[in-house]
Amino acid sequence: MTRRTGFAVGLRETLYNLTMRRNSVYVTFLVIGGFAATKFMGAASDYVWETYNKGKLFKDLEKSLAAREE
Amino acid sequence: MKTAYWRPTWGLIHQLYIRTTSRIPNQSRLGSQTSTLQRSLLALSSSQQEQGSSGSRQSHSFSSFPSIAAAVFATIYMTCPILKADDETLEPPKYPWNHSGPLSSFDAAAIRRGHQVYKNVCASCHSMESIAYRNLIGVAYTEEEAKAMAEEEEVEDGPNEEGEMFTRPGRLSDHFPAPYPNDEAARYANSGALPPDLSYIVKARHHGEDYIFALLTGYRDPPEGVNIREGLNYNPYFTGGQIAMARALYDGAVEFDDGTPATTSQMAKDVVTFLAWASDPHQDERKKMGVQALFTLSVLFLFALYSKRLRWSLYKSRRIEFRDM
Repeated sequence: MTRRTGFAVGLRETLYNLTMRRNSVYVTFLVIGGFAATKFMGAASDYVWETYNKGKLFKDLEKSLAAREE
Repeated sequence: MKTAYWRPTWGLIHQLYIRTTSRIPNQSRLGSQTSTLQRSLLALSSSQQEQGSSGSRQSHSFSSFPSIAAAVFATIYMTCPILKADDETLEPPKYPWNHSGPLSSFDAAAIRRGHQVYKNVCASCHSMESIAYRNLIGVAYTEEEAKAMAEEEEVEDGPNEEGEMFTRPGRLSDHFPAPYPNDEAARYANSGALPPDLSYIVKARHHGEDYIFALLTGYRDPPEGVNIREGLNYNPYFTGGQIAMARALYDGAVEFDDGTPATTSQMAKDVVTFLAWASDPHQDERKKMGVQALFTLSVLFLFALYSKRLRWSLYKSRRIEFRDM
């Protein structure tokens, strides 16, 4: 057996064995992974945006408008 | 902004620097991978050129007087707005707009107040024909509020079946009403001056928000000896110093529905935020996408680095021999 070297060897090995042995599995992994990644990315950037701009966004304005109605 | 005199630019400073420093081709930068053949070739070429204009360069120290003088002048010039001033025009100061940063959104409450200032103060002379009432939904007003505002306006609509034009209450899809039917009417009502359309004004002026804010709050008495033509007003931030628009913002001119005290600077700040939104309504979405793009690209960059190193490992670890035949 060849000796695997470098960083995170175990992670790379498992990733390869799980997804990259057959091309059909690889393509499925890419499609599902891409979908999941964009979802995660959207949620993460929305969270960052809303936390950084707390109080300035329209949803905050709507809340204060509704409070003003009462 | 065109100026009557010649202004030194960075390109000129760079030329000054290049032409005043001596250049020596640098051999010490070559690594151990160059062969003796390559090194002897380089030595041949460098002996043939003295102040070489091609090949690798390493400049002498930066200590020549003209380049230092140019660098000092450039620094002072860039940091002191007063030096850039024309005879009559003053450059606006930089204000800390809270939508300026790469992650900063517009302030929705400020856009709302700014629209109220526009409607009550500015709309009597300035049109804003690119903005429709529906653009305000989800930005500064709810759908019901926007609809109510639109219905307050009477809009002239196309010929009916009888061929006559008719007026109807406004809809969400209607654009902001123009105060004058055409430019000539606008000029006639404003002693020959045309109040510009404000839809993209922040993009259409140098220093955008800073300029508009400084202009609106910058009305003052002209200094001694400066004569203002009849009908014009003095404003140091306007090119030439004489602007046709009179001061429009006074304390308490508008009553805000959220109770914010309507001082001149408050109204100016809010209306400039509104105008900045009108000039760039997709700024928030663009900034969000920018953050996502930067993040994705940096992850992909790491993969690209690894991939490149993997492919190049063959060539980085090979050995080339030159043999005398």
